[in-house]
Amino acid sequence: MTGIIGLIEGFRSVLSPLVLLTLGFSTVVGIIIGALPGLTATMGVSLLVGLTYGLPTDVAIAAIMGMYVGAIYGGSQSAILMNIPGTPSAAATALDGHPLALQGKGAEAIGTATAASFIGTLFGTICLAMITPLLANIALRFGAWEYFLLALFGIMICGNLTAQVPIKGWIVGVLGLAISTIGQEEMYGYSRFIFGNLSLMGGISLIPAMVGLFGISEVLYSLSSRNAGKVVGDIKGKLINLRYITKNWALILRSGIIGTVIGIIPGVGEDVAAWVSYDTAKRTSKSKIAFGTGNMDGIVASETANNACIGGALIPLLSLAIPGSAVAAVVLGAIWLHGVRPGPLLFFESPGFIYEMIAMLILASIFMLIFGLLISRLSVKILSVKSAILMPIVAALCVIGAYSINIRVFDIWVMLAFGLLGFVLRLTGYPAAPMTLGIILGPMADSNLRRALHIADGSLLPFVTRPISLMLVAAILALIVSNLLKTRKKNAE
Amino acid sequence: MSEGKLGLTDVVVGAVLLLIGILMVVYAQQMPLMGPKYVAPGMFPTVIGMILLLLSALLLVPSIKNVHTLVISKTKRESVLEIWKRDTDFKKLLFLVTVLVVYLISFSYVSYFIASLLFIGLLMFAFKASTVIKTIIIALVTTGAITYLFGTLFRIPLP
Repeated sequence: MTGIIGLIEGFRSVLSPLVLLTLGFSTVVGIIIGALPGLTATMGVSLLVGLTYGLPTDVAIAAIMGMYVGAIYGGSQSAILMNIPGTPSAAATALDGHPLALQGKGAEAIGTATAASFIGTLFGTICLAMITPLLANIALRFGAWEYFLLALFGIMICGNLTAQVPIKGWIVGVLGLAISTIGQEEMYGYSRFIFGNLSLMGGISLIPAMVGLFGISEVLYSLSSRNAGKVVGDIKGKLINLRYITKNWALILRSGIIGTVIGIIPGVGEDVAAWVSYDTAKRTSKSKIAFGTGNMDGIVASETANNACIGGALIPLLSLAIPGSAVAAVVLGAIWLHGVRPGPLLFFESPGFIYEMIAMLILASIFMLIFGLLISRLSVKILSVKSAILMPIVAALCVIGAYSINIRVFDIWVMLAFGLLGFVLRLTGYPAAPMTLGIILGPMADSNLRRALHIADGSLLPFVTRPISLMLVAAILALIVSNLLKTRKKNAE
Repeated sequence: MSEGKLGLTDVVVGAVLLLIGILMVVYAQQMPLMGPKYVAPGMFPTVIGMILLLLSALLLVPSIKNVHTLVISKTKRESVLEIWKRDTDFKKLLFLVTVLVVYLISFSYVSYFIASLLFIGLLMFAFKASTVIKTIIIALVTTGAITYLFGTLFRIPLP
């Protein structure tokens, strides 16, 4: 009953003209950003955090939620029309979406992708409403040991699932932890690794680092890449086949569950959710060989899961302050900037905040459905904008986005440095997402490890005698052993 | 490296990681205790440095073995360098980085509007975005819009 009242209050808070307008506008911009190859959801949300810093909290969060939902869905448009996913989360959609477009069924493919994304977002949001309070209750039992191990586990599983070779993901995650040690540490205020540069006393600011890692690196990659996409003709015909949607409710439900569960796993994200769901749909399908040649089930599986992942990724973010995806990591940064503290105490300090976010997600999904279908006929024109026009403008926006957080030119240099780093990581096959997670979780891991050791007077025993800690230790060891064995086998081939 | 296997690039990465790990541990050990040793400022960087050393070893050993195999059967795998050369225009990359650096330095000498107008215009012109007139118009309109939106509406003191 409290939940329903909270949700009604949440809707009442967000149904103001300014918040609704912001939500609608940012959803549309999100769809366009997601659709344009080279502009990702993470980049869009990173930019928006800096750009909306001075706005009231509810307006800023509405803008970010609209961008998040719109951008994750938007990638499907270019995936279907150009065979170039606008966002990594739409990569699986391209496998069947583009063949359908070539068969003259582009309109139906986009319509189905839109409907699937809408249902997926709603499903993930319902799970967010139901699971977050439960997880927050469990988190109240966490001590310093559990928080440290959770940070470590989050980085390891993120690295595991985002890199072709898990050790590469772990390396990047630990480098993120190393970067987080720069600046004044929490306990004594001692400045670490500043090398006399006073600008580093505050540490490496998260938003400039993320804008660089995901924004500037993409600008560098797009403009220096020799590869270019091709637009597929016009979209004509019926957009949504309602009979198909209702007939495949089981596929939609399963994809929603996969997306939400993967969203809950720290740092993994929408692209993995889409692939796992696509792979599962293919394996359980009676017409496996049709996948990859224009099977609508492939689009539904991928798009439902990647959008359900949005709600899933917000579950650990709100209950544990651990983001479930790279985009959620940026959302976490935004929430912190506006003075809200996610975690188990959020339900006591700002209970209305969670319900407002749920209301925003539901409204954003409705806007996404309406505008996604309306925009789809114009997709061809939007997607034909050249990178040479778009990327310089994106770079200029990245500069403002990085600068506006602390009003420091130094942050723009940080952005450039991370942009170059992100570019090198991409070329060498190392994922950027674990680094983001490392930077975010570093302070939590640092202070909790020291606290845990201080309480136990240096003893490591509580890490294995506390039940939740023991489970986390076992999970971490299982990850390490299984992946080292796999890597050894692969390198022996 | 194709097929997710380790190779030459990873040897370089492993070596860099080894260096970072050593430097972290050395610097962390020089930090003052400030209190009990478990809560010392250098504790966490020491742990991270040691993890980096371990990871560098785990990366270097199989990578060095694979490099030897790469030399013997080069036709079987496409090296990262070959993929880079195929997919990336390094002259354009160098140009981009140079222009970005100059753009950031220019904030100390000219206004944000002028710096951004020149930056956007130059990049669009260099990458043949459109005709000269259209390039100038797009650069003017977008720079003007960004400057007005953030400088005036959002009241952010621009760089």
